[in-house]
Amino acid sequence: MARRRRPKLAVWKFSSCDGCQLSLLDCEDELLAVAGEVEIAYFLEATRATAAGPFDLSLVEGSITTPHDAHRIHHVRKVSKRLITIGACATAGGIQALRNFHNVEQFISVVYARPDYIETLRTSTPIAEHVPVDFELRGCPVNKHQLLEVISALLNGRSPNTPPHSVCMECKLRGAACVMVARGVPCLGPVTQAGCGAICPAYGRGCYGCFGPKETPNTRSLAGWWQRLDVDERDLVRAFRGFNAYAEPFKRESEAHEGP
Amino acid sequence: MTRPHTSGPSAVLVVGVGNLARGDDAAGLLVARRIRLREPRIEVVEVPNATDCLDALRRGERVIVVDAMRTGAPAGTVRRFDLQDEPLPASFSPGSTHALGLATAVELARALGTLPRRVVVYGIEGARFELGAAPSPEVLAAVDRVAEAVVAEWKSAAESEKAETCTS
Amino acid sequence: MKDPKTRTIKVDALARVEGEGAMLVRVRNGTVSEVQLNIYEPPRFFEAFLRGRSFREAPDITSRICGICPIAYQMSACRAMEDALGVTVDGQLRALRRLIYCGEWIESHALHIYMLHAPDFLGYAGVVEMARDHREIVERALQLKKIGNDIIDVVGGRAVHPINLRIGGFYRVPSRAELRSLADRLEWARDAAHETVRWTAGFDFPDFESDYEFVAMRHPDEYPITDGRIVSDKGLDIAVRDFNTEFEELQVPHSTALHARVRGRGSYFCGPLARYNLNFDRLSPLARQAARDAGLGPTCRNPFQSIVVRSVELLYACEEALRLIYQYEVPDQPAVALEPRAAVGHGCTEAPRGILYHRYEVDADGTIVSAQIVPPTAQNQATVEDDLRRFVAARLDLPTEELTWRCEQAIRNYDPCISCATHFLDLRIEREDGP
Repeated sequence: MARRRRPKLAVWKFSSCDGCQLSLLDCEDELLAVAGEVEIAYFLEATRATAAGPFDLSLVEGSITTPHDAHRIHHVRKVSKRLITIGACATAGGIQALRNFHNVEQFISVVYARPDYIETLRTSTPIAEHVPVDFELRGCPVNKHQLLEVISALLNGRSPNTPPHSVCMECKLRGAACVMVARGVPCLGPVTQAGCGAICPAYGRGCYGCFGPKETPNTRSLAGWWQRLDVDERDLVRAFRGFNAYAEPFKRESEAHEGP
Repeated sequence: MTRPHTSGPSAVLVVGVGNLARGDDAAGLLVARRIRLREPRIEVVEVPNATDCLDALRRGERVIVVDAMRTGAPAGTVRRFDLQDEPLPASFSPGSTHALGLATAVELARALGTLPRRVVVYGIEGARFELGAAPSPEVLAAVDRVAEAVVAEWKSAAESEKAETCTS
Repeated sequence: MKDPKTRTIKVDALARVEGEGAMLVRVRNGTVSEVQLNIYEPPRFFEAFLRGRSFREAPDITSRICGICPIAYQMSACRAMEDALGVTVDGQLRALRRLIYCGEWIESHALHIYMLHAPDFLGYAGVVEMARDHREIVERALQLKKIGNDIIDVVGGRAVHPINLRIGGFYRVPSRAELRSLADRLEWARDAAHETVRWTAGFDFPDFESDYEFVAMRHPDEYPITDGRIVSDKGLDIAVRDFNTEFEELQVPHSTALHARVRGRGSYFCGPLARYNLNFDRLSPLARQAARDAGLGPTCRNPFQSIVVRSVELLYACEEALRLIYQYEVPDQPAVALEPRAAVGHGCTEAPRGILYHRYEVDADGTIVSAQIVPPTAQNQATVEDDLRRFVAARLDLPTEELTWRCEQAIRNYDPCISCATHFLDLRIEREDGP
């Protein structure tokens, strides 16, 4: 049998914070164990990728915010046998939600090395709106183990075996715009287990959690987002106290907002 | 994203029957969701009552139905029926909030010639069914057991499928 | 003194009635001494669940009360809240509501007629036995049920637990094309429904009538589904908000469900027979003709013939759905804007089984303070009991097993949606006059 050549993996960064990139860096040793020898090339936004391709697998993090990015992602797609997007920015263009923050400046300066990005955030779009994507791994940041599984699977020519995601994944699959991000509608999707096909967001209403909490949901974080959308404490309690009120993560979160 | 297997020997359709708002009547739905969480390669659907089960029964070669039952057994008791070996017994029917309909739905599918080759029914004994009640702890524990059992059944079928493929 | 002999026949579950309930008939010395229809529903749990919730949550919560008629609950809840907030939903939004409700009538009536009730008249133990001999008939029923479900799916987002309804209208309205995609199959359904009227008209019906007070809604122009006044054939004619001044709910000792009565009179009867009798002139010409061809006059007082009346309504619902689809224009807004205020609101719509009344009190920020829900089955319970008493009295000579079976059949005439009002049914006939 012919010796298998080393697979080439590329990592491309567009508009994002550094969270996913750190996850990637964390993975290198494990990647070795899973994929044997893997050649990984990193391309920051300032770098131009010309001679290095083609790649067996490209990982893309960050969203598209400039015409230059839009042009660049097409090139990435062309030189990649498979392309996966990782993280909320790449998969959801999620940073538009920053406009709902009350003190954006403070947030920006903490997260972004280059605060002048704020102007471009208003036109932030996910990768899948520009090029076909083979797989999307959501998360903020992505889960390291899921990332390993996805890379290993795609390099070995099999389907990734990842646990079901939240409703957010299903929204993307059916092309529904994020109701929270795009319209400021409170939605339990990020903490709710997928399975319904994201029917409510597709109809423009926020998910109300029929399928119960997903695995390790970040209800605290979501409650924070809801508060920024001017949802009061009482409605927060109601939201987490629906038909799945007894489920531990929902129960805890509803109690956290109950007051004395 | 991992897709369910809808063909081949390991293709199984799990049908969870129940009502989320009525306490232990949610058992079938909760098992369905637990299975979806554990093993996304298993296809899972949820229906509110046995009549809607009929459509689901038409879709699969192998179907596993999970429902709450009310036979007087202790809450959380799990019973498994393989309809290849035995018909759904009459005692399953009277106490259940749905399975009278379920026995009928299965027999109706058989009479219409649309019953899948293999049908397995899991019943979980419920204790409280009032509107707005939460499922009882015994039933929640049984949900875990049934979900594990179904995944294990699926895994062994998937393993034998793989074994067959490797040797060919 | 020696105890009189009793013989107890227990039938564990009432076959084929949706949901469960319980019934006891006691016979002493050759006469019926007691009939009890026991339905277990602790209304306090339900009210507790709604209290403290936002008014906006009422449709989603109440839709889960009944897995078979969720639209009815959502619609009555919406109408009641809109009444409280002084909001009117009309035009195409109202048309869409009527359309989705037609979908529910179609699927519920098709299910009941074919799979729950018809086997009785054809001498089959149940739909399974009937399917062995008449597969195509059962397949027709399933197709009819499916088109009803598909209407709900298109307008409501999902056939099971629809998600698209809200106070004031919808979250999203369908396009003309989406509705038109239903038209072909609805044309087939209308014809199949017409065939259903002819088919059921040929069944044998025992003579059985009572002096019911029929109660239904009435509207100036339409066969009543989503709104109107509440009327009876004994002179009642009230606005929905006056429901509690004319009807009362009484606690009866053997059931935690409440019996409904017309104040100062007695039990009443809602459902397809009542609608038909009080609104024959509002049916479509085709439906009226089909009824006449089936041998029905403008009124029908025999609950056994309810299967024919239900078939006529099935036909009407298919026609009405088609009419609504063909006239549909996409509305500007999916819903009417509304603001909470402290108020009491009343809503009543015609569920497949009869009038379903909701009353809510909400406070200034929209929190539900109290809720009252009166399902049609609970309203009919007293009438069903009365009828069974007479029914059994006339058939005491029958062997107990056959009598049990006949009682079960009789209860199916009323199409009780017992899942609205109960969890468990068993039928007991206790005889104290020897073997």
